[in-house]
Amino acid sequence: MNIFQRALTSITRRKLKSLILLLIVIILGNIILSTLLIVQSVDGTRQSILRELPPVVSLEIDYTKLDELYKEQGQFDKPIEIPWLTFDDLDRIEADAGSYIKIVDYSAYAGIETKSLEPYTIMDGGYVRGPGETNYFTLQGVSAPIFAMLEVGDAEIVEGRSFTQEELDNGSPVLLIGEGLAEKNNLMVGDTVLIESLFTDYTEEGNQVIFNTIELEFKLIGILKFKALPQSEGKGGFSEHDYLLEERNRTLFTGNRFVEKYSRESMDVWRSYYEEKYGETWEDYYEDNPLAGRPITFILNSSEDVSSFVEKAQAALNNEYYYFATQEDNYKKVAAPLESMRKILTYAFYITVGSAIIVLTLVLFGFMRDRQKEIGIYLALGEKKSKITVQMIIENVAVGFLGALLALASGTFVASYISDMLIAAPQLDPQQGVILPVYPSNNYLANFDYESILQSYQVGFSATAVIAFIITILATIVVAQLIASIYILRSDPKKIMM
Amino acid sequence: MAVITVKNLSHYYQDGDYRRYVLKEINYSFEKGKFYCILGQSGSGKTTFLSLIGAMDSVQSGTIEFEGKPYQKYDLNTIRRNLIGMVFQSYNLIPHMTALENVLVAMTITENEIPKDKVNVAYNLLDYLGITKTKADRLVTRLSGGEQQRVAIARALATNVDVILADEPTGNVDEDTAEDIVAIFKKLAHEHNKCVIAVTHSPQVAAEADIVLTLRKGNFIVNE
Repeated sequence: MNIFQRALTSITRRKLKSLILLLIVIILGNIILSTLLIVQSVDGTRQSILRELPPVVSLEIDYTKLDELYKEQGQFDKPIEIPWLTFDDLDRIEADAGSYIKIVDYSAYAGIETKSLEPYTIMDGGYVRGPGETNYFTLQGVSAPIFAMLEVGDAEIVEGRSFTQEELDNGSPVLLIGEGLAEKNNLMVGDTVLIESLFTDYTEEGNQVIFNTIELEFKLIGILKFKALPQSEGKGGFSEHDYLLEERNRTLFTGNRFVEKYSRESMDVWRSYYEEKYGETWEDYYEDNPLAGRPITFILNSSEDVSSFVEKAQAALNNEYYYFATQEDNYKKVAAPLESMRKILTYAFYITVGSAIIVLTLVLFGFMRDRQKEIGIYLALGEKKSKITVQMIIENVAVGFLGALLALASGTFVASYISDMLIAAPQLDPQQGVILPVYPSNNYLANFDYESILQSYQVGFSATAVIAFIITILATIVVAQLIASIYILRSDPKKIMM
Repeated sequence: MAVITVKNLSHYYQDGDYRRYVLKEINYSFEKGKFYCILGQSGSGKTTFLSLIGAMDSVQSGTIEFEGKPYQKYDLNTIRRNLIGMVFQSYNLIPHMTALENVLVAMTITENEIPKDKVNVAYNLLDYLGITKTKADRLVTRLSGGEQQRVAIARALATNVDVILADEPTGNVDEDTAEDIVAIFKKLAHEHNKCVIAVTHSPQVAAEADIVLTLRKGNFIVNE
């Protein structure tokens, strides 16, 4: 009758006590398992979604920080001077964290109002911008031949080619446009695209007048096809994809240098008009820094590099007004209800384990008192107290292991129930306005949708969760038994036996 | 040859500032092959004496030696595990185990040399003490008081020790069973060269002993 045989005898012959312990372990086990399964499922959903996304990091103005500064300052009408990014900053980032970077891209933007191009629309009478007969287009610059949109797969060149570095450096008037816009205007690669940029104003009667024009002559070098988004139905019968497709087909892609040159010319036109009309000098607010206020997109070599890159780049930049937005940041904002649930359940896990230790300690202490005579006999026979403790641990761990296995059978159902209940809770419902919608400021960071995240989320087993659960249960029992074993340490065989 | 030697053994209980001595400078040697009975009135210190030589309690003053080696040089657990077997008035068997398993527990705990075939040795031992194989496989709670006490004696013997201590071994059994148990103790002493020391109230049991020690005022009065 070694300690294993003694333990087995005790488990099988003291059935009621074994059963009580088993039931307690099953009940506590279900709660502990549920918290573990939900936490690991939330983590799994985040990881699987992020794994699918390109390793994009966006350097953006930290509006949260600005808000704080405004609050500190107490004056919301007094602008805060932001030290804009410069090319020196980018050089420092590339020097310290360049090994992680595949592509750096940023975009200068300018608006073009014109009658030269027909806008691409998906539905008749649908989304039309621009008052009167003019239409608005966006001139978007890029800084690399394989610019971010191409690299992340948001668009592909279906005809022609992308920009050469030389064209970008020289600010050459070369264009890439979407296939929808090309089709609408019968444009083909190699065509010359003449765009008359119109500068308009309104009379007191409300009539539109054109007061100046800039003639732009581009060479169309490529046609882009944009990536399809899931066809989620939006307001008015348009899907998110439709809106995005229209937006992108209203964008004319060229080099940043060209956009910057055009922006400066446009500004001059507006200044002259303003000064002539109002007889006042127009203070030049044109920022002669192409990086001012613009997000910079870094496409990294690997998703695994993101945290290391951000750490090094942040240190190199040393500008508190900017922050590095990652896919994970965006995900966490959109999946906030799910992440809140994870946080709640992480606390619940620790509280349950703590409570389980207390409950089990009290129960096992009760059992030990009930076995006072048996303990006294072992001690009278000269058994070491440590061996008696080990015997008790073996007994309880064996019952606990069985309880853990039984809890595994029911745990998924309980976890799914708890998870559904929490997701449906008003406090975690984004529709209730508690969680504000998030609009990513950079096109290349994925635009998540809470519903699609929930669709990916499913409570299920993983080997890690099962192992973690069994270890947790057994460790809890061992800790409880060790505490309860104070009873053995204090046992005096003489008092018990004689 | 003396197996247990008690030298100047004193023991007291603290009662406030007052020390109440129950044993006072006892000197005695117990030998193998003899059946000793310790008599005495309630509170005379019989059980205290037994608990001290049974290593259930620490010696306060004086020494107890096992074959010339003082108890202080042992761990009390080791003495109980390897040198001494004890039989109690209320049997003190593990209730959820069979008679055989109770005996096997002691055989597993001791570090003394035990034949490898422990189960057969245990069955034989129980049989020797009048517990058949069928009864040996029963839970001890399904045995009579006398049978339980025989199992308790078997457990004490199972560790292959030379000294058997018994605390009121016939206190919970009828007269016939008491006679059987006393006969067993005598047999163990005389035929198996054990030193058997029993604490008892019973003059009948004492009458069968080789030596009777009466505890009075903290010391022994010896009747051989």
